[in-house]
Amino acid sequence: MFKLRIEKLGLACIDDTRSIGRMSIFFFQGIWRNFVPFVQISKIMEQVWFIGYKSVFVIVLTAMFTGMVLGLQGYYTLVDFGSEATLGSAVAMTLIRELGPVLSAIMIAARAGSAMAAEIGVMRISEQIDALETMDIHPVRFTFSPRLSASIISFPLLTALFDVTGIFGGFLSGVVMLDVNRYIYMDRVIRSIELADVTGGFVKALVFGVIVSTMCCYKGFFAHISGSETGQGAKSVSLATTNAVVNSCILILVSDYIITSFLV
Amino acid sequence: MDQPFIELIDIHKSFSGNHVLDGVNLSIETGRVTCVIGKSGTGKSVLLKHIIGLMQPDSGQVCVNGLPTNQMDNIQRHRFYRQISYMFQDNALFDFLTVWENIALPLTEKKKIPMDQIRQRVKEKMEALEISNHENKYPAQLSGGIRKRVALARALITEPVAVLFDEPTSGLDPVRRNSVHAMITTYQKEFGFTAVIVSHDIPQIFTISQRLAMLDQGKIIYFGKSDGIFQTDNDVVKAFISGKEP
Repeated sequence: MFKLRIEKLGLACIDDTRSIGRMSIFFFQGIWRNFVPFVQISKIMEQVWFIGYKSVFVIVLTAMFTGMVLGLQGYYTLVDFGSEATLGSAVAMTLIRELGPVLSAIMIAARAGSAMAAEIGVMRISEQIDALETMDIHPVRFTFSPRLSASIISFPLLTALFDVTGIFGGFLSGVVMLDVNRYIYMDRVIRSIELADVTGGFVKALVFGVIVSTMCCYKGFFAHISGSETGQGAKSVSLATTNAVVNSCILILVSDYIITSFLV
Repeated sequence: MDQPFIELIDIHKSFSGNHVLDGVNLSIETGRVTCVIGKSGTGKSVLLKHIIGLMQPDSGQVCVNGLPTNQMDNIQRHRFYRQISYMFQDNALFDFLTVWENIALPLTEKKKIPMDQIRQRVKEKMEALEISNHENKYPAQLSGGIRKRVALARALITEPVAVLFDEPTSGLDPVRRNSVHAMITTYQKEFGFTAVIVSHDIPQIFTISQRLAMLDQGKIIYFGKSDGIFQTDNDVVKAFISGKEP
């Protein structure tokens, strides 16, 4: 019994090590294949449209309510200390440094990341990826490279949109609903933000973009060996999609802590 | 005797202890149509995937023009893939691309041929396969038969030296089945490519193939001329071609 457990543990470790190795090769191939002539501009733009433009509504909606909640919670906390005038700084700093990059990345992972994993997973189980190989088309270049580039472009832009919308949301709840002085709110926003905060937020967004696109494409690409007993079926695609989103979210939060510890 | 274009030497392959290929030896001669027949689940598609390199044997070798595929360098491998096409049983068409884009994909991705030549080639293939009026449709909007012809057009667009057909007529009505067979024969005569066809279409397949191989329980139990299969003494082969249990 004990021997069996040790064996299982050993097998799990070997599987995980293999998986990390496979993902690393997949990631570096994805980067490298972006630079192999010719550059796939139209495919990248298509993905920017899908990952970036089509996420705008979700990002605006999430950012608006996040900003409004921050304004509301911040006001009632600050008013006890008579410092409600600093509401603008509190909202802006929280959004630009932390919530903007993290929440945008999680929302994009849920919307576009799941779609990436499912689409590539279906390509895998319907032999479309095998077909690429038989046509001498590099499947990683065809499926992953454009999505990786598009994520690197889209994530920082969507994070910027999230920040601006969130600050406006804070303005709505703090200024319009709770009567904080509008000039003081905006003045605090402008004065408190430094270039390092914005740069830090963008660095995070960039890293999250790489994490989400790599994890989601990887899970889809290897959906047939995702550990599902059902092998190459619909179940393996659903499992790959779920794993892709869950793992992306966990990695976003873990890497957020690591990046923040370097930035502060 | 000429060197075979493709040669499978003592190929073994098993999945979770199930021995699918158990010492398969097969020679595919240049410019000939070789048909692989056998009951469902005997590993015919697996055999084809070993030739194209989508699967690697547990032991044994696949040689192309005498060169083992597992010893090919990158340049040789690219050259091999340029020479060979594969038509998948379930077509493997890209559902986010139109019919035109699907057929042109092997050429547009490489960017080695000017766009006007690509258009011309795609037009010719679409006309030959009578799918010109489906140019802008997506695979999901097509019937099974049309999808099959689109897959066939894609396999032939690179004008390959060898084409591997994995049940090219499955899901087609008898009229379309005959037209696909006729098309394979016509194209094969016109371009002289080597063809390997996995099929269940008995007796039609006897008329279009010059060589027949029958796979049973992981082994080739018959290999020879198409008309020679009727003279065989093997009970399993006789039962299969007459559609009875051995």
